[in-house]
Amino acid sequence: MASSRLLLLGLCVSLPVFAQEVLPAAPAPPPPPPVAPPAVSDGLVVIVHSGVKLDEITPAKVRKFYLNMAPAFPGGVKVESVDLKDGSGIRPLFLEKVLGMSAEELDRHWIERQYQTANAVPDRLTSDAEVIAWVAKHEGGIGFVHASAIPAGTTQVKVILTVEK
Amino acid sequence: MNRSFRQLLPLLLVMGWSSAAHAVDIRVSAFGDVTAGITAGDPANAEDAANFDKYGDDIWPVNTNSGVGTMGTDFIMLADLTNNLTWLGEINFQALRDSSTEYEADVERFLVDYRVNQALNIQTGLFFTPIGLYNRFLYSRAWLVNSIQIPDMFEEELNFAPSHTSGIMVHGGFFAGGSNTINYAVSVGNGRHDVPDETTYARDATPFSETAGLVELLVPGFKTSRVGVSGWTDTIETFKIDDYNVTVDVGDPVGFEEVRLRDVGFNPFVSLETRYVSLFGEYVFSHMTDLEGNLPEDSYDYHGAMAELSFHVARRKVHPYVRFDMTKLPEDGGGPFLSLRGLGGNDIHRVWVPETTNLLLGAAYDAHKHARLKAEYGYFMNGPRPMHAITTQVAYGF
Repeated sequence: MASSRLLLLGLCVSLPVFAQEVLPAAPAPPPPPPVAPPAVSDGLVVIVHSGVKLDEITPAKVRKFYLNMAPAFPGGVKVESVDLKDGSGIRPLFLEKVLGMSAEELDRHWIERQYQTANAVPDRLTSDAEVIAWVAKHEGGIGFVHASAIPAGTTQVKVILTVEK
Repeated sequence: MNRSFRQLLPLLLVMGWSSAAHAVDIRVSAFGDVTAGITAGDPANAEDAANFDKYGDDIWPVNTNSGVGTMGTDFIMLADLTNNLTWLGEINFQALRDSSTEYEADVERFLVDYRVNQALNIQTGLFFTPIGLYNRFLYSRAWLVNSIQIPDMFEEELNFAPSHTSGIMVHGGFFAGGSNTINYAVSVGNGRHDVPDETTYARDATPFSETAGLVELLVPGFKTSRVGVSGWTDTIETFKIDDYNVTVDVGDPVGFEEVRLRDVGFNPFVSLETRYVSLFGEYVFSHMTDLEGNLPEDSYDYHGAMAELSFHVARRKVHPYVRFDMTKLPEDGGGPFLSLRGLGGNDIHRVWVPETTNLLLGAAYDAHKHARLKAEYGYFMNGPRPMHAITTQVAYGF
């Protein structure tokens, strides 16, 4: 036991010396690599107006509200969906994991829906910030944004579903 | 709902002016199709073919797809006048579905809808009579459906059941547990005209004579499934013509008898939707009672039914289907109301209207989000149509 402690001590002392002798002088330390964001920020969150009487719900329920199959939230507030443009990065994830349909099927759904109910096809906004502002402004607003886009301490919208990539 | 384009032009100008004046955004969508078909074989029923040749109102029954036809394009315009008030106008430009090459413009819907809340909406104007499913959502919108053949049971030119109403409708929905909803609609309006094919703006001699209502359960799934019942009552005031191929001038007070019919209709429907299979079915029954006692029978019944089973394969882009349709008319040839046709002015003519029983097999392919290609084989088991028909269609919607 004592010999092994001596061996360990010897290694600790000799290795730095050895390194100084053999390796070239170390350059300035590189900047630390970017800290990997938490896994959740690769995903998306579904948000609703803070007044909507819903807590966290399943993707299947979100789908029913978002597609206006359930046209009103509990309490009777009319559901108003908002979409993101194709280049947003998270739209394919939302289509796959929450809606379970292709982009074409979603487009067809909205055209059909507008014909049957006279409700407008959802606006397609370009950024998370626009979606958050839109949902905050509409009493029955529902939309999706990058998980990392929700400002800390926000009170105007609330998250009802988190979807990881 | 036939109106000539000349009659519609002022309306369109007013619509354009009013939208510009108030800077209200107008949403526009459209549906249309081009259809081509051939028919082959003997008539499904030789006796019906002979009657139709002698007393029919055209060389082919309505919606016989022979040759290439541009069935028309529906333009739907919507404007949100306020958060709760929406204006909707739907105009259909189409080739007449008969042997003529004439084009016509139909006003399908023209209404304003005021939303009080989810449970209470008030709509007034010209709207689809709130019965069934096909009549409200699918008629002439080929892009929305799999099959090509327009079912006779809801063909507005035959008007076996009331397709449009001018009046007022109250509608809404209630939560029914889970995400399910119960929808209702009740309408009061002008009933059908004195002949089925001239129900322009559903304006008849007895205003507000028609009431219609509907209750349906909506169950969200991959798409929304529905099951519901609907019905209507109406008093139809028309004229008695005993024989086929006879024209009566109803402006002449001598030489015709007036007829009053109490029409009571029932129309249950079901639409079951899953990711891979859909089933749609609808039945219409109408019972017309002679209120004056001057017709050969006390009452006349009409039955119509259709059912479609479809599958959604190849990532739900291909939809093979099988569909069955049938109509059974009063008497031989349509009875005292369904067999009448307007000839313009005061002239009313009686024609022989065929029944239909047919089986359709086909597939629809979603080539693009705005385009659907279809091919269909039709086997006709009753009526004057040739027994076999092959039809193709390009349907578009945006």
